[in-house]
Amino acid sequence: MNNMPAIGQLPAWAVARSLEAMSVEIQRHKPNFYKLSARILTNSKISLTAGDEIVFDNDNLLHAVRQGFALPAIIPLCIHPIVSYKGIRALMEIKDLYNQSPGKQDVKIFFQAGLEATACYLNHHPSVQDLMRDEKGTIDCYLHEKIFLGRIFRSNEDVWKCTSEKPDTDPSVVLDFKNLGSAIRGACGQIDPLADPALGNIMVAGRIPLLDKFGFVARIVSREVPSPLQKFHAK
Amino acid sequence: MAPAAGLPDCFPHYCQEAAGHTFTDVDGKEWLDFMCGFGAILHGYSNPEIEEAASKQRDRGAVFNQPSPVMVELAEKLVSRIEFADWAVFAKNGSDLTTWAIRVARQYTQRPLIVKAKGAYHGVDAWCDPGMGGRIPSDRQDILEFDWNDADQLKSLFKRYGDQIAGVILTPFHHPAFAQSVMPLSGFWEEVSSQCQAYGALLVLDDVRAGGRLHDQGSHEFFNFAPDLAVYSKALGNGYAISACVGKNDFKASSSEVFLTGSCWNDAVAMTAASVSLSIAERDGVAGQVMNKGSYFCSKLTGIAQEYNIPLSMTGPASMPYPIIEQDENLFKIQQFCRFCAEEGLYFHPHHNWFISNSHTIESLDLALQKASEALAKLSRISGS
Repeated sequence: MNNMPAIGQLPAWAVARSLEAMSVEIQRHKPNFYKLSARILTNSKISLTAGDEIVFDNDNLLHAVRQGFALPAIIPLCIHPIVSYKGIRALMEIKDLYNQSPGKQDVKIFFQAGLEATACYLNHHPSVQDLMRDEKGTIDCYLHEKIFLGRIFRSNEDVWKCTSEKPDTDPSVVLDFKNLGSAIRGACGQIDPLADPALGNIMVAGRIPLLDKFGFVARIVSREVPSPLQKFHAK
Repeated sequence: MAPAAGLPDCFPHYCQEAAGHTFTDVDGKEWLDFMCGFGAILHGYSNPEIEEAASKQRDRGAVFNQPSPVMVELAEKLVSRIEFADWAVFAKNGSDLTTWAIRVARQYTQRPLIVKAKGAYHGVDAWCDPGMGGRIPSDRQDILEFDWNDADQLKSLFKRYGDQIAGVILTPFHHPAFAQSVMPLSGFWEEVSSQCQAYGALLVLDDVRAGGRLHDQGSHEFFNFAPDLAVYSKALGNGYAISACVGKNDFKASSSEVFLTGSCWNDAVAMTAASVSLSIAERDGVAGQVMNKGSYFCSKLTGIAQEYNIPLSMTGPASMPYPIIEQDENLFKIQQFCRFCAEEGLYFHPHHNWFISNSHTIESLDLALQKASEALAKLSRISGS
């Protein structure tokens, strides 16, 4: 186990990391919320909890996102029923977020999922790594200029990371969503880089080539990684 | 994302009409323009002389089965004005002919590799485009890059791959998007020329963006070197779609082996526009005029910025300057400045060369400076707050 996904495992790993990121964000406001913890067990299995109580194979995890339900591996569930219950309840609560009209706080949670999925691709997808080889810097995302949605940045260890806490340091690029709808589209990588700035749905400032590449990667993620939010956008 | 895209909604996104150095967007707002169709307009929008000639040709027809006499006239004009040139071919866009020119280099040398400067823009084709989509690794497997002005790096490439390098394609000065322009260091062009000669590689000048704004006979004259092939477009037709590649006689036979055609490439209207545009440029010494106007404008603008303690620099040639604000590596300040200018109806682009046309008058430049001064005052206020 090394948390280095096999190339075919990347979409499922991005889903798992997104779920963990969402649980962390929810926990910031609901301290009792169970924090998920994504771990790669094998090339085909991913755990969503620290003690490996909720384990999905890659396809099942993707199926769970697409269809809203899939069975995790039964034996670990039965061995640790209490932790398993907490984990499944957390997953159900996350699922419920997608079945309601999202508010500003929800958008921030969705955004963490989107950023984390993109970070996975930035860190592990060979052609994306190639594309971003010389890129450094930070991208801050806002809603209505004031509500901080998240930051994605390349750390000193050359790992792309994201955070929902507003850092003190200046970003390289600021991406400001002018309405909830565009922020939701942003969270699932469906911003139109040509039309949305011109229509005033987003405001981009700073080192645009960095955001340009990031947006390109986010759209790859949007194509390869399922998200219930894409259904919401389709509505 | 192309620099033309991605600008915020305070910038114009669709244009209704243009004349001289102004244009009107689809919302009816009039703009004082400093982009000149991203360089395609040298004599001002809807220049009367060019439009009259184009209109007359349009009455006779634009595209025929055969080329029209104006093609010969235009080719002769180019060849007579550009000292190293013995022949010319025509297409519609810069990319058409930068890509064709490197194929001529390959045909002549029977070698695969092309050298270019990192970050240089040579068009929309897969071997050089700055985008990310629709490419496969083999698109660039025969492209080598070196840092602009680093003659030692170029020498190393020749030392290692010299017998495989077909040509070096460069712009007359380095004008990458989203980064400041860089002029060639003293001796750079001599070194490039000498390396190409030593190894039998062709030197291809991509004069698409700068052509007509540095020197009336081609930008190589401004920097005092002679390429083997040179490609022009942008200002050549003053807004009519046309590009040209000229070359030395040595490469004429090879050039005829490289397939070249296009649906409307014999467009007599565009060729007429280009022919008249070249005549005006020669008659009025337009390159010198736009350079002088640019120098006036750039020095005044940087002076005003200095009064507000804003370290604005205009990089590259004054006729097509690229603005930067020192210690603004992420471009926030220059973008804010250009947004403030947009509020004043002044079309400055935050991360692309600006362009001076010969229709800019001292009065219009002064008006622009006045508007820019207000924008700089606003920038100074928010920078200080």
